[in-house]
Amino acid sequence: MFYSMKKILKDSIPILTILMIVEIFGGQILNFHLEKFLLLPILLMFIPVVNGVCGNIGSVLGARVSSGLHVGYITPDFRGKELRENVIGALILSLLTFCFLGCLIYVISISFKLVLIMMGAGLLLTLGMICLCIPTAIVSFRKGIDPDNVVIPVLTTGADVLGILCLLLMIKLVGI
Amino acid sequence: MSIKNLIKQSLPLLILLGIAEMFTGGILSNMATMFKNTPGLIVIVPAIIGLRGNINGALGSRLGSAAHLGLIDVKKVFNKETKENVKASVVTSVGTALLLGFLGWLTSAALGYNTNALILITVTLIAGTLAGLILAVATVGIVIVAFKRGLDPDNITGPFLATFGDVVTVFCLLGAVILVGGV
Repeated sequence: MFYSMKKILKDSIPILTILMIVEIFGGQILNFHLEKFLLLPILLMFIPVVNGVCGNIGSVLGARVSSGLHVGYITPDFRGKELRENVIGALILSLLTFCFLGCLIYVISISFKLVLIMMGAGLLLTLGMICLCIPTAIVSFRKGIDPDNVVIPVLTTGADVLGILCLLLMIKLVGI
Repeated sequence: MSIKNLIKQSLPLLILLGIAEMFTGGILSNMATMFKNTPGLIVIVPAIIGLRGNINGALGSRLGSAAHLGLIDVKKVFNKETKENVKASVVTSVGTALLLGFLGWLTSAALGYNTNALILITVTLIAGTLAGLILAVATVGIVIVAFKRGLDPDNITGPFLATFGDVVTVFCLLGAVILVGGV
């Protein structure tokens, strides 16, 4: 047999444990600010939306940059037209997605403040994803590690923790 | 690939994902009183969602590779290799759920929150196991459907789990809290 449970468990448990610890850190930040979310429970709704959408934009960007590095049309030096185009593409994707979701939030809540909080957090987190993605991909590539194996777990986990921080920052800036 | 192609191919999926996540978030906002009455419950929310996606994402990815390697065939998808993969995935789900409940309680207790270890561990165990089982079965189901239609499972399992994995997980979490009696 090609697959064995033992091998799968041995390969995945360490990385899942690290991931869990990082996510619990995010969870404790939420716990610390729980009262804000209980005051206006719709804010709880924004957590999976912002984290999920940005995590996926990050994954798309990460996969594309990884492929670009493998094939060679992106050079591992933080420069070049291809890299810039990918970053701009991610920003436009995020802007369009959050404009659409912002409209939905407005329909649900009739509150411009809530729209601003979600869109602001989403766009801020997209910038965070870009800042996390490019160095992770380039550094792992330079070290001879396949960025495909590293970038996506780092970005989706990073999105969860940074997303909570972006949301809290926007709540503070906009006020509830 | 140009920016135009990237947007044309990714935007519809991202919007679909965003709508699904709004359902996930909707369940979470309806659980507000539960978070208030069960200290420490909110702590495990990001982790349980993240873990479920990663465990079953890996399962989907492995089954996709197995399909490409010719280890599973169209007529008999649920063979020995698939069973071993699903078993590993479910065992990982149960194991990480237990550990998550424990770590969630430990960190909350260390930070001075009045968290009930038994409730938190039971809730994560039920939610994690249930969601893990449902999503493992769903992942195999998608591989079968993809196979039958001549599609590459690698292109389907990832977006599917990203879109529905979180909803299923949070729904199981809600069920687990109700079952344990925290309202």
